[in-house]
Amino acid sequence: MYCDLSPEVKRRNRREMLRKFWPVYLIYVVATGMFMLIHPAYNSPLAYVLAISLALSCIGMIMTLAVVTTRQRDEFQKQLIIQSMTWGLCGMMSITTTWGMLEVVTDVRHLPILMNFPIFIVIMAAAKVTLFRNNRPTDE
Amino acid sequence: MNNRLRVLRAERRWSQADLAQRLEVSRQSINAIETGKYDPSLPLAFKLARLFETTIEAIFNDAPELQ
Repeated sequence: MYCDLSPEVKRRNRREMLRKFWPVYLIYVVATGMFMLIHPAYNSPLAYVLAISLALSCIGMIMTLAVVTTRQRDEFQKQLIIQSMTWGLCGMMSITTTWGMLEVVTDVRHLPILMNFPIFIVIMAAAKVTLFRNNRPTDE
Repeated sequence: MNNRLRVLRAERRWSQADLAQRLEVSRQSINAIETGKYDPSLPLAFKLARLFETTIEAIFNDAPELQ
């Protein structure tokens, strides 16, 4: 995505990222799907298993993101990724804090805490696309 | 911070992509350094100086640009 590293380095980076990311992402998708489809009984063992696997997969994805960012050799791109993660964090905290305040004083629907992660990822992805687009090399 | 990267690169007839490949960074980084959007780390500055066979001070200058 707007990255001008050599094709071989790009391929290697993408392969490394996908190899680490896909297993945990798959667990996240399966656990979320099962939550939606099965609606496990409150306090049941299945509910515990799904909740824990969902949490572990979220932690896995965050750790993968951290490892990939730390190993990023291009310091400018690393800076852009860190900036987009900061946007993700700030956006997530702003939305959840505002929503939480509204829940206290109004009849607004309850926002489950597990929505924190998707909110973070969506804002981070949008920020990453914007930052990389704004910093595209223009001329020689 | 001002820098002479574009001039030094032009003297050698290197494109941004050529320089990026020699430094093992992205063309995006070279563009950001040349346009003053990004100041490189000390290791990258040393790498640049070594590549252009000069000193860091000869490439980068923190004095305000003369109008």
